[in-house]
Amino acid sequence: MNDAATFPIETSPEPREVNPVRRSIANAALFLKLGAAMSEGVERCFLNDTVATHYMTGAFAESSTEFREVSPDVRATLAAIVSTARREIIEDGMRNAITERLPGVVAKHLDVAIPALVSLIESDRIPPIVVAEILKELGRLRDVVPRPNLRWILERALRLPSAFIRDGAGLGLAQLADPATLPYLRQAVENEPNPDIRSGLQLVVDEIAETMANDGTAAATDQQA
Amino acid sequence: MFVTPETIIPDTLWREVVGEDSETTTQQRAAATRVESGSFAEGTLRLQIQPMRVDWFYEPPPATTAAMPAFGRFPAAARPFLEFVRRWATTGSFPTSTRIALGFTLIAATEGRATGYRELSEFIDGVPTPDATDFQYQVNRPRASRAGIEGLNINRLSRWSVGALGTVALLVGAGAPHPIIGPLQHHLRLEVDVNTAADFQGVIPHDMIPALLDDLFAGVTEVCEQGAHTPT
Repeated sequence: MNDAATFPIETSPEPREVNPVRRSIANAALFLKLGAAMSEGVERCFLNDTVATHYMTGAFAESSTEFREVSPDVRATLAAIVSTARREIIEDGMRNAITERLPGVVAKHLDVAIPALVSLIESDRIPPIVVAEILKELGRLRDVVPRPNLRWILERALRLPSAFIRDGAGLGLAQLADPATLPYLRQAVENEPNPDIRSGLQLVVDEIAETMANDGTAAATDQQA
Repeated sequence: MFVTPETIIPDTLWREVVGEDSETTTQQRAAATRVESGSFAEGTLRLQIQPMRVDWFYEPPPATTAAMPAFGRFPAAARPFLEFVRRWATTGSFPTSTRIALGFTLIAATEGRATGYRELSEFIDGVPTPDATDFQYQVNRPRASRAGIEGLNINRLSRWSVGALGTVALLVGAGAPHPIIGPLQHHLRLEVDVNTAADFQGVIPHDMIPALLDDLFAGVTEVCEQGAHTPT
């Protein structure tokens, strides 16, 4: 007998309608596990039928903090975008794999795309110019991705060693135009060793501050009216 | 917990908090993830560190019988983990955080699906009649935090269902293996995730963390005791 062959997994009382592909995968996994449990005599293991059901019904909730594994598909898609971008000439205002394909992937996999991108950027395996392009593009997704996630990845990038990346982060934050980023931006201006990037970051600070001031004036005018 | 962008979690976090080295460490470079685990109290403690977040999981040992793995009665069974987190919160190794969450998965044995649905209706709205199946209900009942942090709200997200655990006895001899499916053991299942709202600006003051942990645990207890009915 093989004690290690027992594996408790929760199931749902009745199987539900599941995607045939998922069903096949779940069945294949079940039979593999059952196969692993085989030996002479009787083995006991636990029914593993509705793992797919659980995943399918686990709807994304905006208030959830549940950890979500980044699927290999998402990783592969992001890696393919990066791989294509590495072979392209990346220039300001020109379309490339990142500007064309990244927004769609991020919008489709909202809950895992940003952590996956953070992992990619921090893996040090992507050329800085490509990372900078990703950061610039993320800033444009201000109405698609939750602001805290965008702020986090862009603010963190302001501290990375590559000047290219810090410049890209500054441009991304300019696109994001979120007043909540001002403390980080001001600190980045103080710490920035590269004079060109420092003046660029200062411009971003000034633009956001000016927008805030104008918004405040407009709100005051509206109130008076 | 969700950490600030400048946070770098040291490799020594486990040792600093637990007091000894972890039993296993896994580094996934592609995912920028480190996972450590080791024995703790009645189960296993697991630390997962990613760029944006730090998670501690307290998990029961795998079941060796046809029963759901579990620690014991709530809230007493949660005490070792809560004390551990409270202890961590008072140390300097507790990272600067923007958002904190406390989650539990709770189960309670029930006779069957119909009985389970009837018992669920004491806690939530919209439970169907027993001829329906695969019912699952998820709702967030946010409220203001009582930890004394201005402008902080907490989410009380709960997911309710009736689950079942079954066994398969696999008869193996000459010819094809013959599975014998045992009876299902039903249970009410509640997954509760009480967390500070994502729209909170700034960091959570370090000296307020213990009070906030108490507030989060109070939120969990409220869901368990009062359910998640629509307020009248």
